[in-house]
Amino acid sequence: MTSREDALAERRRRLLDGATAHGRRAVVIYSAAAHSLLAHDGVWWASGFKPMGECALGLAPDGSFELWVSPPWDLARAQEAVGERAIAVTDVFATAEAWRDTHDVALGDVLVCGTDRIPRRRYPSAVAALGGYDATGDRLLLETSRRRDAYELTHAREAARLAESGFARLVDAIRPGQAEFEVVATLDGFLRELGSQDNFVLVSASQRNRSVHPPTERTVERGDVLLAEISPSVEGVFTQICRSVTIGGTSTTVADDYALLDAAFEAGRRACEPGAPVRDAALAMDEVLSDAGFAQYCRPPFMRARGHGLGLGSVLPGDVTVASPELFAQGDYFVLHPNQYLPGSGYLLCGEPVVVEAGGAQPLTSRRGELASVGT
Amino acid sequence: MTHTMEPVMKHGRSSWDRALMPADEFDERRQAVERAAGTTGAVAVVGFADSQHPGLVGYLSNYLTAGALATLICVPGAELTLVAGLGGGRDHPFIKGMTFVNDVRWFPQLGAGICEVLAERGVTAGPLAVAGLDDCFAHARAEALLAALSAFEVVPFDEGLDSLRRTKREREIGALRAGRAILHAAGEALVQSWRAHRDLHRALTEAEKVAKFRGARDFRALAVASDGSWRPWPDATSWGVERYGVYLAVEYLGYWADLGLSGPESDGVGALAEIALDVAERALREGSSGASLHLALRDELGADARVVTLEASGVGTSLVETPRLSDEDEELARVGDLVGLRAWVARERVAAVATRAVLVGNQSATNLEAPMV
Repeated sequence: MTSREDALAERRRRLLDGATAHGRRAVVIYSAAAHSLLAHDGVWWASGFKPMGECALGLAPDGSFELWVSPPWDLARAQEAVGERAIAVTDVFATAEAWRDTHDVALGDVLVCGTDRIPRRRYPSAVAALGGYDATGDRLLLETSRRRDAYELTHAREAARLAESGFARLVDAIRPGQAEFEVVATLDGFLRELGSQDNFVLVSASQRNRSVHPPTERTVERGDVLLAEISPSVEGVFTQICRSVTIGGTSTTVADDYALLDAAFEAGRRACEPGAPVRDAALAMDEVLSDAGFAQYCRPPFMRARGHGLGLGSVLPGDVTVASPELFAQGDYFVLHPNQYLPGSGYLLCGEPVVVEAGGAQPLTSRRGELASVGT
Repeated sequence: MTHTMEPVMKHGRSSWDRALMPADEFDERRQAVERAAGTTGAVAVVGFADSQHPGLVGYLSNYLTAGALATLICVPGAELTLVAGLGGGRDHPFIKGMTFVNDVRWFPQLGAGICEVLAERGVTAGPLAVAGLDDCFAHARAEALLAALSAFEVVPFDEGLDSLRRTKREREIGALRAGRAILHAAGEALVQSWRAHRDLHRALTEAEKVAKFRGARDFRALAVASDGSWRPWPDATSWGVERYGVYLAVEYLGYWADLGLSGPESDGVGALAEIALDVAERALREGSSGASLHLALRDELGADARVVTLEASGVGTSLVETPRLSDEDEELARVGDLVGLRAWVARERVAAVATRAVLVGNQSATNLEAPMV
């Protein structure tokens, strides 16, 4: 398997090649360290270092790079990631300007990536240091990082394993009377023990959920359906599994509705072919629901998207919706989930992290999730 | 120095504590905000928030977004409007559970939506006080929003809001005290776990669990690695250490509290941190500057001051906010400021931090954890 250093070097080489194709000689990737499941962190992708403060990576025409790290006391951690190429700074843009001079790179020769993360407050400094920018660099970064390397997929599989293991332990631990936030605290503990470094979690429970949401003080009781979106991360690679758990028995309605979503997932999965429109996967799932008489529920506010990208790497193919303009590519990594509200059972979750291959997207989980039940 | 790793989502307890923050508390805040905005001639106030910057939205509505942008529209005399949720209003039943605001909406085009709400309230032109634009938007998106608001004169209100909010209200202080109580429980759990297992990752996991069970919405930690440097937990992969020094922080109901802990094997570094805090607390009063606090440290600690990094800043809905009392800033402490004091000490490979929250008075500062009269 390619080493971590080789994988990261290859990523930077491909990005610089892409910049050259756009007529630029150098690249600066910006991170505000405002991490999001639905956003890409280019600094992390290019260096393996997850920023804690404002940070940037400068990729010079000769292929060398520097990692400008703030706060300055985080240097030791950065140097563990990239060695002496990490430099402690108090202003990444001032440093970038000096770096540009050192490498004789003109303002117009820099392709800026991560511009959608530069807050307006920092815009004047960014322009002064790097010149005016548009979204070209952002798109190039997403497209370049879209091709997942073995290094990233290894972590994606490990994250999926953590998610499944964490969920399995959670099912054993859920008890009526626990508050939603206590269920999450329990889950967090399990995932930390298993090695997750971060987690995006939505857990809610109701006799008829309107949506899935952050946990409140509401208690989980018999008759509820507990929903859990569990998204741990390993070395910055996030996964997501979507699970539904009935408390105290499963009604026929909930079982039937879940089976419908499961069938929708399968239909969507088959539609995730390299080169196929992303919207086709959403349409395929909608069709299953529509055929069952639920067409009116296949839109907001009864659902949001049929899947989405997973940070901190490329978030392409983006939201899986009927309005998506994207096409699937071989190796695309994202979560596919027909999660939605149905009038009989309320909101239900059903979803897996998948990778696009010929013949349809393949889940990274060891087994497809099933409607679980506790307290029967 | 005070800096922690931002998680992708704050996913602890998300609710409205009606006992600690009743609706009338927000009425009082709104009146104060409208008075402050009124000095600029503003006909309305619009605030933007994201998960890192709760700003005016959290302050006036109690709603704390876990990710998607949130917007609050405040027209004097009219009900508040909260624009929030990720795509189409799916989240609105949950959002309404976190706030007293009844008018919760979502617009595909935010700028047009803001204009629509303002027009409904009879506001179609004039100065618009805006807070949060510079922190919550990238340039391109901000420009598009401003274009949609071109009928108005956008007046920045961030400084005005910061100035108003630097004096914490009693119920805000109550939330901060509650957060510190959570931290003490989490810290106790950490210490117990360390004594039993000498495993720092396990101890921090236990601390986080206790904090989350007690209602913290977010938990952050830094820990001293074997080379003496501070690292964000759990992002570093190896936590095999023989002694512990940790910095813990929790967010409770939108308010942050922090705590420094170090084990008995810290070779006096932890004790020096506490002494430094004592010096800073004695020196802090109305009119104090960062420079004056550092001078007090040098005067009282002598050579030991060289290994101490003292930070003093406001603490509230963020760990570091107005006032920033440092050597580089010219801000001065005011009566009523709630200041977070942090003394970071490093001696060779041993490091520790001590923290304290104090209220600034005319002649002195009062530890937030001193018994209330």
